[in-house]
Amino acid sequence: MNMVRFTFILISKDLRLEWRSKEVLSSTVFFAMIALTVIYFGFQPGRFQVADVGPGILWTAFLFSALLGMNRMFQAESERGGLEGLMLCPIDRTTLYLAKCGTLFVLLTTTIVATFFMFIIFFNVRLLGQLPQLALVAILGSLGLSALGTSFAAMASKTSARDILLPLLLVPIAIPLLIAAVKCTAAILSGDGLTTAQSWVQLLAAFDVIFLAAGYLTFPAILEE
Amino acid sequence: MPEPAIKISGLSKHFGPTTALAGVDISLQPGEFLTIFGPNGSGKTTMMRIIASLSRPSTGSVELFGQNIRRAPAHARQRIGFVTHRSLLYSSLSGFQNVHFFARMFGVDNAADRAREILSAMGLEHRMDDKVSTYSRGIEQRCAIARALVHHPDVLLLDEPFSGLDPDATARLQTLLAGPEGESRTVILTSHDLTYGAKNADRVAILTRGHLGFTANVEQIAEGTMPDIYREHTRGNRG
Repeated sequence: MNMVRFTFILISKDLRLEWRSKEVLSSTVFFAMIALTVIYFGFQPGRFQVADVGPGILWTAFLFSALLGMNRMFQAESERGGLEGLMLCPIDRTTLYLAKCGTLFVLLTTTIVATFFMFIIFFNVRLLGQLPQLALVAILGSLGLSALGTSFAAMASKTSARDILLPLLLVPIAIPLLIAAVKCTAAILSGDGLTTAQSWVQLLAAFDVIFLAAGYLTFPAILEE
Repeated sequence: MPEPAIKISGLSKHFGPTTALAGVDISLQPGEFLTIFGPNGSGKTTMMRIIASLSRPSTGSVELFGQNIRRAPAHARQRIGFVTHRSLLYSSLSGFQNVHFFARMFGVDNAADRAREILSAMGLEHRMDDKVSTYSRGIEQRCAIARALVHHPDVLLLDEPFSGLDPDATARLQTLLAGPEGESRTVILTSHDLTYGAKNADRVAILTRGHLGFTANVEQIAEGTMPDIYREHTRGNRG
């Protein structure tokens, strides 16, 4: 019960910090917008099937904007030693993982919703009927990236090469998640729906469970000197 | 003899081939104030971080009121307040929001009232609603001390608390430590500053290259001799 309470206190503190600084969301949403704009003018819509290349464009833009957000989140925490301040609190360090992962999930879900919205406008996609399925893929995708990103961003934040280290660590491991998310999104955009992509949905869910459990178990060791 | 508040036995810490601490032993009774002097790189911060359970020792142990901090770290952290040269505060939150947040994390009853009380005790009643980013170094350090004291810790660890403070702010900090919020706690303070560091201390020690080379009660040290003792023990060992 205490773990839930402390996780809630930590998430509300992080969201309050983000509300004031807007450091994470401004960088992630802005990056996604720039990426989609460049791709839109580069590819000239109409010359290709959105269902074929759209999901790849969408998730690539989201992944790279998410990397920016993960780095920003831990940089703000280490500015005046905030992470050490949290480590001095009488809580289990797994609670810190749940809280950081929860905050990142909220921020990445907001980013992916904004990215989807821009994608729909830029590429003139009609998705109203498929929104619940798209929401499921967005939630599973951003949960997996949050689970993975929390551990790796914490690890990278302890080094001076954090901006380079985070993508090097995270992207190779996130590939199964990205492929599954792209396949699920493609199935939705083609009008077939997730019934034809059930195995990919299962892969997304399995990825989330595995990396949430791994992050939860290893986070205390990551924080330890 | 009551149970020691802090008992450090054979504490060592190695970073690869570098030895930061080499078998440090310290025992402090409840309410005792120990100041540890030492040059840069002598292991003061490493030792404080281990006591605060932020770092794991290579060998040795730290007991807080008879309990090994590695076995019950959360319980130990509940009894420790730690002030470092970094404030551990969030710059975009106000002083009150910072201290209130930590009060809630430590499960303090009436967290908001206690946060206001401790900030007022630190002389911040008129600045507690301002963002930390607008604070001077001295005010930020007083806010950091309020953060460290908000949960009524039995043990206070002060790692270079005078670092970056002007003489006025340092004197004010000294007064605060000697006041009701500072006294009655077991305190370990590390400093380079021989003038201010020993002011409230019952005992002083000198740490050089991870070894505790000198320990004495303050009353055993003749007035004005501390600089000579320090020079003698740190000769050739300056970081």
